[in-house]
Amino acid sequence: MSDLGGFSMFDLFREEAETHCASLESGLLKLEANPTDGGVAIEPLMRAAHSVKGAARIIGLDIAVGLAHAMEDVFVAVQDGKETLVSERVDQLLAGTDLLRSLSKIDEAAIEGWSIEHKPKITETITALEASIAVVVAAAEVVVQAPAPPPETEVVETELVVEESAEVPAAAFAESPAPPPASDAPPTSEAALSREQDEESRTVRVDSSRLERMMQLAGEVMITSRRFQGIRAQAADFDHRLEGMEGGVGAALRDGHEPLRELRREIDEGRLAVAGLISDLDGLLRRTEEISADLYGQVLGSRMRPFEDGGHGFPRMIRDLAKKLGKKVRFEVQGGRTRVDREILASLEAPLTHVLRNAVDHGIELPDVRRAAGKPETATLVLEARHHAGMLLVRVREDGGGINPESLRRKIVERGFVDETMAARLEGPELHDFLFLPGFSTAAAITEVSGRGVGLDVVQSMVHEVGGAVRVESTLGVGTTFELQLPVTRSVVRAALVEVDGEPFGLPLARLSRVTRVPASEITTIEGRRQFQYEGGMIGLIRFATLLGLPETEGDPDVESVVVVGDSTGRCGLVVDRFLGEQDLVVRRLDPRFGRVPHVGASAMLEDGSPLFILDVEDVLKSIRQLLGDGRLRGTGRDRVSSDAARAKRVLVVEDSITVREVERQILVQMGLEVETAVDGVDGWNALQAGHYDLVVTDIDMPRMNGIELVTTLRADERFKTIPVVVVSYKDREADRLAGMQAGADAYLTKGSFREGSFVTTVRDLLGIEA
Amino acid sequence: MNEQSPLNGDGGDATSSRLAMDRLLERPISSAALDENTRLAAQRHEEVEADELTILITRIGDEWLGFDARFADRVHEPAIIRRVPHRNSEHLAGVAAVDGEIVPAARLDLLLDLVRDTSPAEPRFVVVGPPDRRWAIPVDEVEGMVRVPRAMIIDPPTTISASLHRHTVGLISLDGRLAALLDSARLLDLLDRGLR
Repeated sequence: MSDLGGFSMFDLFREEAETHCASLESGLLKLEANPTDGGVAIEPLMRAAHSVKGAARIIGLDIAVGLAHAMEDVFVAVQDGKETLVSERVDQLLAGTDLLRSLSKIDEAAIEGWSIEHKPKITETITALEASIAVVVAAAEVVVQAPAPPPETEVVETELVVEESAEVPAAAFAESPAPPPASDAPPTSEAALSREQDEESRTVRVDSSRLERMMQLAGEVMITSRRFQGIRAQAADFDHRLEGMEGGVGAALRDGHEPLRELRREIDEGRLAVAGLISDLDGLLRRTEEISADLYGQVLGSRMRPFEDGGHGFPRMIRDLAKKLGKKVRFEVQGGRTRVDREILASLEAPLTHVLRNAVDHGIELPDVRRAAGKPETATLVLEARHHAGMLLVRVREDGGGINPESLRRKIVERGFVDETMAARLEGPELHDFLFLPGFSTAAAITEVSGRGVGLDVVQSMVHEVGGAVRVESTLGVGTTFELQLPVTRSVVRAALVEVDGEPFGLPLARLSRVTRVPASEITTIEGRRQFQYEGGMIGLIRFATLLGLPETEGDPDVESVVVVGDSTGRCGLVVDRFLGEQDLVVRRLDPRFGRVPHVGASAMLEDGSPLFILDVEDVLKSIRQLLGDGRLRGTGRDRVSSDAARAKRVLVVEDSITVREVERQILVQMGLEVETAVDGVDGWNALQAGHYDLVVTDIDMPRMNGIELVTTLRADERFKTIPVVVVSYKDREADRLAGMQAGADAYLTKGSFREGSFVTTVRDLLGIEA
Repeated sequence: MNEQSPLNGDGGDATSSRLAMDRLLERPISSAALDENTRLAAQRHEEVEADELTILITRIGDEWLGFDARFADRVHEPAIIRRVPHRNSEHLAGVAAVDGEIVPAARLDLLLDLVRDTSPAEPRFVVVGPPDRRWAIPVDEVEGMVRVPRAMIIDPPTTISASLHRHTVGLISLDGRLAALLDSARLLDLLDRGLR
């Protein structure tokens, strides 16, 4: 009960209102799609409105009581058959739901302000709701003789059909709506489904820190239980020794040493006792392992939620958006029961919202365009989640116009990312990757919906943040699919354990190509770099210890243990001291006080209770590419600095977009400068630690560490207080410029500056070089 | 007790019961009970006045160090310490798992310029700091908790090492030995800063 101590009555009201508003909304949208469900589906809506009314009455919120009451009246009228839920009615009810929900989002202190602010809107809504009943009741009285209009007409009026079940064939939503399915079959399955859902969604809120502690304890229980193994081994050892003694005594007895008879008896008893002990321990061991594994699974499971929990707002959002744009969209959620880690689920909402809005706004065509193209007027938009090969796949699929590769190429050239000949060669995924560049949009017109500056790059960086990837597939005229590949959970990771300089490290298996032992004879040295032949290609070798900043140790001189990381675009081998095996690791976030540690993704505990670090393979790969790309280890650049006074100035370009990075690099190289590149703030910071630079050019929007953070970090460090920094960003608002300059940048340029030449001038000025 | 009580209707009985009560109340008190009562009274007094500090006494090398017990709340068996890549602060030994939590482990001997014994007698980890800022501090020995009146904490003389001096709020005398009472907040700030 003490947990409830901190809650006020208003807090309880808020929770209740939130829950009921969610069921009101989803129920209304379902009803709108299937008006014939009336009788069955209206019940829960009535209950929800009634409950909100009751809860509001308890805390004395008369204004909310009135609103909920009016809504309830409409539902009652619908149930009595006096009213049908047409689109306008649903709009009014949704407006009421929105008002109640906004009430559930405010603080107790803000009630009065809220009441005053929303009074007119509430009164208006209540009036509309009451009027609608009156009209319908009146109409019903007039046409009392005539047969009730067939429910199909309602479907025609409905502009958007929201359907959560995947089973209904798409044909049912062809241009002229087919008659609604026989009223008994689907509602039954629907009702069964919602009962099941109810059971699953009866949840208790758990404080995340408490949950974390539970996880720690569960892990502890598991580790503790493994200690029994040691005790059991000791007992077995004791038994073994007693057995030997017994043999000795037996021999002595044959020689007639009578007193030993007594000793033998004692040993027998002792052995019996030890045997009992062992069998007890065996039972205990088994039981504890079972319990702790179960506990662990339960706690872990409490982090998993059905996928559909994450997208309550989607059907509504799509309905409203489609209506506003005059489009017809049938939205479907497939695989809504797929279990997803709540952390992943929470981080999915924003990128999915963006991709879905994008699909309705840019992907799906207007009804007449669709008709002209021979497609059904109502477009299908599918949000699908499923587990595949240890990953969670989330797809957003629509049968819209698709991406026109020609206009995309044109756009790329217009933006000056690549020249025409290069653009013409771009195909498929390579071409579509440009969509994820900051500020890139194919929308012909800038609409209110998509706005400006919020691009798919945001989606990409959000997905990258949780360790996932995103790609696009599109066929002109047929449709577009966005696919998000995400880890199922961030809680447990299967990892290869390797040892480097006496320390164990975990490398997530999903990110590794393979682990292999390479005989020294197969390793060749070219220009000081070591490599070996692997699957028809040469793979460069890097000592992992060097990368991690640990002292290099002498491994086996004859055979090197190599972890191959990377994909087809670039693979490399990490030389470790030895392999320790594979293990499931419970991921614990790194203590936030450490900030970002290069190459380290998280921490974990081994079975013996000792800690280890789980490495961030992406980050490791980036560092390696840089090392191999430079043809030398970073840091060796320093030697040249002191020896060569007339050396070229060195510039570090920090930019996550490969295209912009390449443009900047080329310009700087043409200026006679030595250029190194980094793909984000963390990478840039690592590079700065190791090498000497005269100038830093950085972007603002980057994953992991953004430009502002990078500049702030630089300025806070004694070594980099005075290094000139140029920010080059798509963001051209005054506030962005100010933020950059305040962080300590020397210049703030927009990406158009490449053509204007101001980029070149600024770099010259800051480096003090002649034109 | 009321003599008119119906239970004591008879006068003679009333007298004898009062005698029995007197005997009970005025019996000699055992010295053990007296000690216990004194202790309880003293304790209560201390809680009200809060003029005493509870200090955890530990040793690193030949220096005795005191941690405010409100700051150092647990003593743990030594555990394996893992180095942290790319973190070279000399005060950071690495991370260690303590009670299912992974926390940074400090090199207090380096931070305070202490000479570490070659063979620690009974090494322990002292767990310090609030939940979100925990540290494990390996020490050579933990002696235990002592209660020291605030008035008995003396200003540190200049004779102790300069570094130790900076992190000490006062000295405590323990049977002729001096223990340095460490400045918890300062120590924690300094350690946390070394993590980045």
